[in-house]
Amino acid sequence: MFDWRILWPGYLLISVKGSGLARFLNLATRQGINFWDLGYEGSLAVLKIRPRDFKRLRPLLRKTGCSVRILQKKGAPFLLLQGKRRKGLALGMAFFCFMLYFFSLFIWHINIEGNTDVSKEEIRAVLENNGVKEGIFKKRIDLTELERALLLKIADLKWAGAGIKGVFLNIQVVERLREPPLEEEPRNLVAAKDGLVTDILVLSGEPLVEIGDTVQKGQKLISGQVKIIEELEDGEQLEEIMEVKPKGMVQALVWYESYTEVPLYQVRKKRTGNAARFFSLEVEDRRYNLWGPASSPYRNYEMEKTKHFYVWRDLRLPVELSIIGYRELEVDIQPVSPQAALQEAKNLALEELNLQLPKGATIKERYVNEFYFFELGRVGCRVMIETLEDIAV
Amino acid sequence: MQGKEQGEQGRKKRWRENVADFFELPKELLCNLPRATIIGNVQLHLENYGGIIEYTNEILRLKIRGGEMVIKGENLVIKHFFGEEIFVEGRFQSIAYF
Repeated sequence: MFDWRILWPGYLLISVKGSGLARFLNLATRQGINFWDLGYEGSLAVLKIRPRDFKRLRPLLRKTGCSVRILQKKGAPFLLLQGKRRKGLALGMAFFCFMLYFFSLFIWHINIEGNTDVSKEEIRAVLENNGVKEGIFKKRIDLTELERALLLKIADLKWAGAGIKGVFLNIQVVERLREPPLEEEPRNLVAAKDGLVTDILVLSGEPLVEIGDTVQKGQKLISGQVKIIEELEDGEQLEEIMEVKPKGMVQALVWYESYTEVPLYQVRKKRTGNAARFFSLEVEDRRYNLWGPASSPYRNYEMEKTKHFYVWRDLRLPVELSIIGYRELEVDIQPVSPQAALQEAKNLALEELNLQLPKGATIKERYVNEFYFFELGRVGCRVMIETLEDIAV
Repeated sequence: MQGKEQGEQGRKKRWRENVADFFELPKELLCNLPRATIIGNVQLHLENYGGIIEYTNEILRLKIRGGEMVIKGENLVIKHFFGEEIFVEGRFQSIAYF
């Protein structure tokens, strides 16, 4: 076991001779003198004691008739006393301590934290304007002044904090959150979709389209600005524009379209049960093949890649074990009748359309176009639906 | 005179022991008894002892309340000792009370 007392205050290894050993020990303990590691070396009782307690032993020795001898002096204090003789060493130690202290008086690194939009260079520029950069004497930094300078010079900062930790200067900043611009309330009703207007009902506002017009998505339908014309007594007209919240319905025919293609054959895959595995080691970009086929031995196959990483605590080994498994597949191609394929294409197209259709739309008409591309081995189906719905939003 | 004193002390002692029993208090506190922690046959920590009577390589006699404790063994080393605590290491063969 390491005895920390060797650093300070050091200790003396002493031997005690005499018949009154037990009495001597009891008396010393009662006086608050601490011993430790009391044992025998041959017939000699040996113990350890703090150096400053040694002088206090003398009266006890006389009382108990024991005698002591110092066997060893151990610890840093004795080494230092020796150092008096070795001036160079002592001087070097002092110089080292002084240098350590001296260099800790300066800032060696500046940490900047918390900035996202404001660049570090910008913050550094402000710091340098205030005379703060690496190598500055710590006492010369006025932290509150620095914080205020940061806030004044960089408008995007809401808060800045500066602190010195050892030889580091830590700058923490909080940036101002940019408020999004207020959205103006829509003053017009616009078309949600392309369509053909069939009916207009205005509750408030002024209509901008007529029945039979084709409108595009985003086009204004009902305006919130109402022109009021007043006729004055002298026959003059006074125009006034009043802002209202537009309300109303614009019914329109809207078309939805969907197109799908389906092959005239069906592919069935089945595993034959044959399989092979390929092992390799990957180091960064290089690959070292271990065993197994590097490319698939089968014509039709499915491939599965597995990578093993070796992680120990936070360290990831740069070597990865990669395993590629191949499974042979049997591919069976069966022709499908054009009618059946078309039916499937139609179903798919209708399904897709149903996803587009809004709730509460009345379907007016449905058109189905069928396409047969026998040379390509495909059939296609286009379904178009015409609905009547309110498109004003 | 002495006998009477001892009798009184004995009664006092018994009363304290009863109190300790009743309240389930640790006896070493109330009756001033030593408290020993022994680890295997290699380490002994004794609190509340009165002093060393004899110490050699093979025997350590300690004064405790109402008698003495004798530790016999080989290479007995006193690792620490303060006013009321002692740490002994070595290879114990016997620990006896007299």
